[in-house]
Amino acid sequence: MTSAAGSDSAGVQAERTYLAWTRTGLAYLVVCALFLRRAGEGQLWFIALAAPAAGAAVGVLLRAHRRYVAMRTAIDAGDSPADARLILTVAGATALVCLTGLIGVFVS
Amino acid sequence: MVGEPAEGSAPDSAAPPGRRLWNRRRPRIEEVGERPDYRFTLANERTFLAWIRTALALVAGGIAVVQLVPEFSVFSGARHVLGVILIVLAIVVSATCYRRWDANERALRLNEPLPPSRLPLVIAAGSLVVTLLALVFIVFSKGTK
Repeated sequence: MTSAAGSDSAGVQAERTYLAWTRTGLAYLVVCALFLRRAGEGQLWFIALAAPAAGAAVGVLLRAHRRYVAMRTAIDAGDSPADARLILTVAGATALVCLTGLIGVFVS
Repeated sequence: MVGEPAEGSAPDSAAPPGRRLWNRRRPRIEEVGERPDYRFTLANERTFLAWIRTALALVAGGIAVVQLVPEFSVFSGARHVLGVILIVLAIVVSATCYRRWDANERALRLNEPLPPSRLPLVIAAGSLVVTLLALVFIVFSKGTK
């Protein structure tokens, strides 16, 4: 069994984090699908409510691989892989999705 | 205390204390302490993402309970009550998870204990309220039929 501090630990840790990003992107897609389901019933303006979740899903899923590469590069260079701006952006996008969800509940 | 400007001068720890009076802006994370083990940073990031997914699951649950669950016969807005509580919980999570990530990252860089959080308690209490309300709605809906 490889030690946590072993030479391949960086790859595994970054990979786990990449998978966490991917799961998060898929979670945005689920919220988007719930809105689009309502839009499919004829209430087309639910597409507007689905837009933030769809945008966040696409953004996170596209960004996940770049984030993985950036993590590996930072770790190999001995730098911190933390990215405060990205974290803040995701938190803001999630807050926006939550607000659209609240609007969706009130108008349903 | 983690996150206070006075604590954030570790790379520049030789700076005179008087400098703190001039720089009241919260220092950037990169300026705080020293670089932690990358495993802790990535674990903190995964925890943040887990909170984000929790918020999204609460939103999805709130929308689903309004869209997919049949109307309770207790009163007409029962589903909406459950949905709104779930989504308000999601808003609380999404509004606080960045601050939580930031506090953890600063604590890691300063080699301090991670700050406690009340968020798990809030989520547990909120989930309990939703569950009990749903139970009440179900029981009384059956009783009225």
